[in-house]
Amino acid sequence: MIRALCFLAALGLTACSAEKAPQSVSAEPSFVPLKAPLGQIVAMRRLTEAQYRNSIADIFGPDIRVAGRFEPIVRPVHELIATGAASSTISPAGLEQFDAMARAIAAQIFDADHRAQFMACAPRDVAAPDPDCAARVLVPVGRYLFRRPMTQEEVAAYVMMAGKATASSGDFHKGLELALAAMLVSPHFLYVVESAEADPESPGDLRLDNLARASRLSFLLWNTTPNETLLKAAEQGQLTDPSQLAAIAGRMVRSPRLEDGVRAFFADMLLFEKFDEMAKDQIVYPRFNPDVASALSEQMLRMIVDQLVTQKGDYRDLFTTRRTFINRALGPLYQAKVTSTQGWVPYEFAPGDDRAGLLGQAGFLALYAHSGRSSPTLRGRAIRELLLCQPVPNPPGNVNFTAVQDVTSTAMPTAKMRLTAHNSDPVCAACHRITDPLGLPLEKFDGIGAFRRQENGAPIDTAGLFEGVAFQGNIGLGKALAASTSTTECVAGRAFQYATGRVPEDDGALAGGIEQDFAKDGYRIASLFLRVATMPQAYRIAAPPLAAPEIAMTTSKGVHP
Amino acid sequence: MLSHKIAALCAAALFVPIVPAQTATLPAPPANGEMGFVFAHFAPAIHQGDQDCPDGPVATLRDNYLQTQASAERLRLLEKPNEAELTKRWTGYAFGPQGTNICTHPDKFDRPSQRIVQGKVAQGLDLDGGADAEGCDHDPFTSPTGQAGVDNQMWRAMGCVRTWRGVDGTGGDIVRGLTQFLISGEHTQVLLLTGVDSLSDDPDVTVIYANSEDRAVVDAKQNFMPDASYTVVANAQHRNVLKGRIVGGVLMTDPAHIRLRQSWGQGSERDIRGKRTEYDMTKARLRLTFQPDGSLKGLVGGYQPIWNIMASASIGGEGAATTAGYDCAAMYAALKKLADGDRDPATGQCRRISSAMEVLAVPAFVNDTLPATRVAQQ
Amino acid sequence: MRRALLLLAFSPAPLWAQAADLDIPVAAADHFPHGISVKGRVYTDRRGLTLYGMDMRAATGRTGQPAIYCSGDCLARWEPLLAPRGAPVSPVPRAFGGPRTEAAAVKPASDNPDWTVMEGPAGPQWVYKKVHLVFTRKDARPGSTEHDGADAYLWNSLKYLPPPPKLVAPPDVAARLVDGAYVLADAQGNWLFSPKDSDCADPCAWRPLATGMVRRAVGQWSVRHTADQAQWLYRGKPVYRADPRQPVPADGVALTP
Repeated sequence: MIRALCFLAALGLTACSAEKAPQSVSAEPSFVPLKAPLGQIVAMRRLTEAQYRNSIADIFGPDIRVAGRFEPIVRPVHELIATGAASSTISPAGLEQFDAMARAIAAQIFDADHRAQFMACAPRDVAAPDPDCAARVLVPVGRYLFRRPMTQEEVAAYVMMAGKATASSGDFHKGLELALAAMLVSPHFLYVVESAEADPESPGDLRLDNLARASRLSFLLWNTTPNETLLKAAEQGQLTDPSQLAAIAGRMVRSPRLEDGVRAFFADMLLFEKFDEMAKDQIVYPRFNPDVASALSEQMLRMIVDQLVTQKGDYRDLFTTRRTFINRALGPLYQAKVTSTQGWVPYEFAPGDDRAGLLGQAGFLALYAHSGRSSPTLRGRAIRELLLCQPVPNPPGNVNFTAVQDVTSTAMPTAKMRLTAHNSDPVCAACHRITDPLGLPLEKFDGIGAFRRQENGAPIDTAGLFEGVAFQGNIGLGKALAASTSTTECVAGRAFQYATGRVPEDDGALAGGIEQDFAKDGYRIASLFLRVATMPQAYRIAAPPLAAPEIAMTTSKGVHP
Repeated sequence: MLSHKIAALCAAALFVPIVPAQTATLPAPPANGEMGFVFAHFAPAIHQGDQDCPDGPVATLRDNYLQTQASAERLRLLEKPNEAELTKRWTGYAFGPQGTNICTHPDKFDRPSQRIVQGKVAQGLDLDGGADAEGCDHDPFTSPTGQAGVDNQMWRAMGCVRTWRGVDGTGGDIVRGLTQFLISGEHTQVLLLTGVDSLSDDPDVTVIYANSEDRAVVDAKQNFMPDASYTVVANAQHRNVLKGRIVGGVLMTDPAHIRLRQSWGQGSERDIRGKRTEYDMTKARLRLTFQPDGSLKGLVGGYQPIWNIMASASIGGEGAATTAGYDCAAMYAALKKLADGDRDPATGQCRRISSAMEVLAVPAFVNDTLPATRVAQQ
Repeated sequence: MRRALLLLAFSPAPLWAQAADLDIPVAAADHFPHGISVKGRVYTDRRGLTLYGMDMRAATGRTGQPAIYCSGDCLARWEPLLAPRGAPVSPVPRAFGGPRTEAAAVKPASDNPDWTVMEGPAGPQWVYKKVHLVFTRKDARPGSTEHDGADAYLWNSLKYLPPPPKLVAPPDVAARLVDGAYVLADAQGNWLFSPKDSDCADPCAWRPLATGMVRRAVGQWSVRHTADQAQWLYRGKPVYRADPRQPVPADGVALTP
């Protein structure tokens, strides 16, 4: 991973040295280069696309455009992208994309229209290197990009890089542009580098240090880079003090920015990356147009945010709430009147409407279906795995799917009948018993999540069974999920994994402990996030420290920490 | 953009047969008596009678030019080696002095009328009750179902134009072109019925027939999706409030002046923002039949200014003449000759022409709330 | 697009209720050719009669020659506002029936680009915003706008909306005209406001006008770093955004240039 980044200074810089580091960067204390050595690196977690975009917006402004394709982070089986990010590499092709984005961002920032808004100084000569001015511009930027003050060596190297590029281009601003572009492809930006220090509470062990905690809090709770307040708190050592950590995290979960953190968490937990590859058979579902496709995930996220953040509601009620949001594209699918020509408007399902709850939303129903038909099995499996954290084994390789795929069968007009026939094979039946009783209650929604009364002219049986309780339809399913501790334990455990990027060895016990606290607070998401943001276990280091990244940006004197 | 516009004239779709209401199978009226629809089809009502165009379809500008030549010269021009010369000459026939062209300025060219429909049967409504003191003499059609007194002089004038008439039961390209306007948002039309107590018989129904600025919600095959939402345009002039009644599953409105706007262009660089035309129909009525699937099919009839009938060709300008081959002056002459409404007392010339548009409206949610303050654009 | 900018926070003024089926564009400048002035919010001639524009775009489809559509009887009711002798005459665009041979270049007839001259039914005539041939109504009294929107918006009183002020502001801040006065908005059309008195209490539900942490002050705008994200201050007060469809909060004040 790190090696892939080693040529990031594809800038042709070869023999620059670091001895010309500027001496008078700024009187502002927080802009002074880091003098202390960095802590031991214990994890490197790649930024997601949203985190990258949010970071650029927060550091440079929302008007700076980020255009390009992001190489996806691979999701480990049954885990989170957040976990995958901790072992994610960047391929050479992926790095080329990051490099192109970096150059485009840097070009905007130092173009003639924008540069004045980012520069605290003017060069003595716009055609010549000016190390002091370059440092005054780059040092504060580097502190935000790397989420810590740059080391003296880094400052020297980037200033040198700017100087070299200025000399070759005859343009001081071009020099800055190239130096910034290099910073934007540094692993210290593209990865959240978690560094640790000795844990005074537990001699011999490590704990995340202050600056790493700032990033942890910010990306967990707000899905973005740490802001000035948080960086200062870290620099002042407040984040290793439990009471100060609790106060700061408490303030952060009360902020409206928690919405961004909650969105990112559920997009990860519910595998929203699958929306990007969802395809429906246009012959079977002509109504599934691109506008519908693009609205589905947003509708689910709006429902989640409304219930959990805006209303500060109970997580369990997410499965039964009648409140959602709708736009013009989704109106026909829901057969609902949309009062606004543009954008989203709140919408409330009528009492008794089987649409209520997260599982009644077309996004979930369409995502967990085949391209041309619904799938009680895929839906049931998704509920088991994603919402109950109960992995379901893959089917064996030699299964005969003929019966379930014959959707026009007059002898077996409904999915339930077809599955019953399929399950005459006891090998199949073992797994289907786990999945289907949770998926069949959703059968009144077709493969794109549109309501249907019948399938092939036959009435649809929506009977379901979960943890020994029988129920009917999505309403019954939502109530059953809401009543189960598996549901709340699952989200509690996921939150811990999401925060730390790792699956704890004592997973069950820890999740159980978090779940109990979650229960005490009435299953409020803010409480859950606060808990995982402040619990000492989340900052304890189990993995052995990693080697520091080596960056072939300089030769004689490396800039790596 | 121009080619798209010409497509309005050059453009086709299937006929929408007017099916008599099967009142026994109609859906129940909504509890609040309110029913919304969006138009999925709005195009000249086409009837392809065997006797309509005995001399063939309307001649192209090229044909008409050749007719002005002596037969020897005509034969010479038709020889293959002289094709370029013929093209140059017939396209030149589209232009007059001072840069005028036959489609932008058809009134500046004195050309004989194009071929008109000779048949006795056409779709349409009886707009004048048999006689109109403010109109001009004309021979009414009989409808395909045998109803006498059908006023549709527009069809008589235009029904032999190939791009209107179409062939073999399929309407001409104009149908597809006009449907595209409905889809693009340039000509979104909605209906909102209120006070509906029965879909088979109701003596008093209010019909709001209006434009919407909302783009159509269509499926992957460009078919209108039912149950989409549309908001009625803020402008009261294009929100027509009509009185109507339902008899035997057929909704009929009282004669009224109906005005609907069509904008031209969807914001591309070549569009002139704000360019717009009106469907301006006097003594206009709707006759729409409720269908078992919840849609409405039928006719909108009324008297339109003659120029409006050829607005698309006029906007298309020289392209309509030289690319599509329209002899707009011959078209204009036919419309002027057959105009049967709004007689100018001074000249005796009628300025409007009876017309019938065939329509299909599918169920939709219609918001009839009027927006408030507007904000200026720079 | 236009709908997104509807604003309910401000009470509708009568001017905006006047007939107009399109957005009214703002003036390019606040000075006008000799003989043309503004009374209230409407352009007038030297007699104080309201100027009407005959919208050539609305005449499209009724005639091939919108520029001389008002001829004959029409001139008995409408009087062209003729241009001064010698004023450079711009060609009638081809889109409005102009000759295809003529170069399409518009010739400036005044130092306000809104006002050009075109050949009308009675000679060279003023044209407003390139599409409105300018007339007065023959039987009108000063101050009357009774024919506004007449004949399916063919005739519209020419409404004056002042040109936008020059801003020294962050790049995504713009001035938008609402009910005749300019207010500040962001690039998405959200209205900008500051707290009337004390700042929004923590946790603040107002949406800040965010900026980058490394962004520097511009004009009367500066950046504060103490909130959840870097936020613009205008004249020292924090700036928030209000949904264009919602009112600015009662304890907030909409920003003006």
